[in-house]
Amino acid sequence: METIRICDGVDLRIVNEPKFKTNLMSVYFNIPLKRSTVTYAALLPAVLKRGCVKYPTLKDISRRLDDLYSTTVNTGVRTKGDGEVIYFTAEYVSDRFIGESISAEVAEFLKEFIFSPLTVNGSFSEEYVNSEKVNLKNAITGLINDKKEYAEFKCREAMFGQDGFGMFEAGYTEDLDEITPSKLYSFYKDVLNSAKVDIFLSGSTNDKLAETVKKILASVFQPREGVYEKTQIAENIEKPVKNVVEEADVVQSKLCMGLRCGVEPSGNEYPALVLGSCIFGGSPFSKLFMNVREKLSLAYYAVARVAMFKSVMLISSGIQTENYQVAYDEIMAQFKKMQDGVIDEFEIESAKKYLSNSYNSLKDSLRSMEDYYLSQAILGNCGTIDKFIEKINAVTSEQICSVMKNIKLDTVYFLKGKRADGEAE
Amino acid sequence: MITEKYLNAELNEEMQSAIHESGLRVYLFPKKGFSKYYAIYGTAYGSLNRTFTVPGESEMTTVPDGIAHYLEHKMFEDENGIDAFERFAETGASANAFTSFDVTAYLFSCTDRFYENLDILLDFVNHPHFTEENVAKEQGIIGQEIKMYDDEPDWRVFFNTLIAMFHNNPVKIDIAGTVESISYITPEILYKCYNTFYNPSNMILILVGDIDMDEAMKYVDKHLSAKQPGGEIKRYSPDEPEDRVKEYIEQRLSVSQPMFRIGFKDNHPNMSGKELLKKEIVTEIILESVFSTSSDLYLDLYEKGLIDSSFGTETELSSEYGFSLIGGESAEPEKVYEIIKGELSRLISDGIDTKAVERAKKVLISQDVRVFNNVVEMGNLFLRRLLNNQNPLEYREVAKSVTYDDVYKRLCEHFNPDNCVLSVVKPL
Repeated sequence: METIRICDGVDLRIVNEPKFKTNLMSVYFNIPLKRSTVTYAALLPAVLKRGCVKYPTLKDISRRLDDLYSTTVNTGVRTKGDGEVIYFTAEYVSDRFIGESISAEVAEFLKEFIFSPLTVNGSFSEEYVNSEKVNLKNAITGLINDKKEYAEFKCREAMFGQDGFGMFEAGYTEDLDEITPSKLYSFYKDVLNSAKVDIFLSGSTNDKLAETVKKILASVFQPREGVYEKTQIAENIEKPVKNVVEEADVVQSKLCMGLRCGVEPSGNEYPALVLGSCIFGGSPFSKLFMNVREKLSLAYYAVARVAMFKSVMLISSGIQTENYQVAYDEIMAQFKKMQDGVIDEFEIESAKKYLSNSYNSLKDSLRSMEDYYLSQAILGNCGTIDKFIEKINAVTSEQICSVMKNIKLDTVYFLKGKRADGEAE
Repeated sequence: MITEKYLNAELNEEMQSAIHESGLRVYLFPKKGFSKYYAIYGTAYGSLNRTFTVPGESEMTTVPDGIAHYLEHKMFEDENGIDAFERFAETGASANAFTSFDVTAYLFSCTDRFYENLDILLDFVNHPHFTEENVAKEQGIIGQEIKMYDDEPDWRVFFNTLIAMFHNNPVKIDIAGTVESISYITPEILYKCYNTFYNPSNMILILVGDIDMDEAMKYVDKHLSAKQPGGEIKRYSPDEPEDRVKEYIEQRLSVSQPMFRIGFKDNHPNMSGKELLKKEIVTEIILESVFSTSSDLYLDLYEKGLIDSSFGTETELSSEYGFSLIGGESAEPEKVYEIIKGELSRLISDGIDTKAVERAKKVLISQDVRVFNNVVEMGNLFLRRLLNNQNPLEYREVAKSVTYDDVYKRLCEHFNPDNCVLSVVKPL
């Protein structure tokens, strides 16, 4: 990846990978994940998506994109620890397959889409804001529709409260009433003028193309002091464990456990945490898979993964309500093995190969590569994927054990099912 | 063994094919520059195949619902009690399997040691090992998988649509079966299904990546011998009336707002090859031109607040079954249903906008280009295409051949507003 500074606080990052048939052009606005703005941030891209001066309706936008060889534009928010990004991405077919270059037109489109929204008296259209408030409300309440995701979120919330990493990125319904078109517009202006911005151009690129895109987008960005939000990692200090039980009208119960790891993602211990979590619950040969699922037949899924920025491990499983205690005991017994260093050479070697395969696979997707490099930029790292794989491969069993020993269980969240099987009428 | 090559110069993509002496068809899509290799090994066997005649027998056999999926789970264990996942763990590959209505497939992706992984894949899929004990052990795991799906509103609203559409076609039966139906599964029945449907002549192996066909065929030789006694599998498909079972089906689940699917059943199955591919493309053109974000209808429904960005369409057509679905979330699914039926009646009487049809065609052709960005997506989609005797590199050619008359004719026969169904999942 090559980085070109457009102005203070705005970088253009180039990832040249000509094997793909498409290019990806993206703009990321990095902002802190705060309770006071989280709902604004979620609403903003939804309103912009409705129309801009040049393409005032959904249909106008969509037809313009169809004309650009069915370019697809995505926009929304994505959390990065205690920070979040508002993203705008455009994926378009690269020149070789259409016989012309549309990169400049895609850049012009993104410029219009982001910087020339429909306004009425210096504010967003009331109609669009109101209708997207309804849609956002549905998206927020819709969290309950996916019980696994819901349980994991509730566990995070129990750990951190409604702050930073503990928040739901779609926001909170109670904020919606107070959001007016003019308040949202001033939030928008603030983001445009002060957020740290990363623009990515990935796929089949060259200097001339980068220059063209730079020229088109440079005109709309002013220098700013924008910085990335620094995430406060979850400290592994001793605290009493929180137990949360919520009843729900579902057939299968969900058991979710949150643990504080206290490992800086840029630090030396991080590769050992990733490897340890893969051995514990991140693969089909993991301790959780082999024991909770294969040996005891308690669950179809029992997994553990680490949220890198916040250094939190989430363990997640779907079980029969009456198996709560036996599942909990087995998960903890397996975790204790990790802490006691009961890990054999086969597990370590397998996990290293498995992770090397997973990280190498990121290189086969423009979106995954962009996300990887964006996260690295936020952390202030310049490491490549290959470099990280090397670090994973150098981890020893002692290092895994010492990282695992320091991990502290914070919260046990149980979504308790109370429903018998149901049928449609 | 002769390897044939098929080139699509516009896409700069190639397909190599070979038929092994066992009857196995092998297809290779060479991809240079990608980190990943992908292999998928599939059989034309899924949840639909509940009644059939075992080759060499005269009586028809009916097996418990969910057995194809159960069999898929049990293929991973061998006679030494070693799980195939453990063998893949040694090479670092990421392996998996899935069962659908008419396909069961085993797959892996890796970034090195491809041929070793291929060796494992071919070995474990050709070595069933079922015992009373290992079959019983799976009841709990699959039982939890079934219960997980019972709580997933997207899955329920989808299956309920099929239940409302189909009288007899087994597509309406849940792929994993029920906790009760799987309790009747024994090692003997698993072997019977395995021996019938896992015959190489009923299977396809697809390889995607920087792979050499001759080298890959050495591993096929190692695991499969000359044509195995098999013979024709007689699959029994019950007659399916053209009309729907009922127009409306509803279930209450723990959801925040109603979810819906509007379903159209396909009454012209028994197609395969290019004919089926064309039918699929024509159907997609209609869905794209009438219901996509570029359509007047979408804008109207969205601006009225009746749909949101979850709104979408899909079509699934095979020789055994077929349907198209339109759906998403809505506070008032009944209203959306009436508006859509009205729009379809109008289009049937006035015709579809020719510009919209042309635009839809271009959208589909450029989506086809994108498939070649992802080795996994290529393998999965192309397995389905090749099992249906379709050449995956011919998609754009077939799409270009579609005429306005094809589109209009299909609109009238398939999107019949008097034979569609509405499935709704409502909050408790």
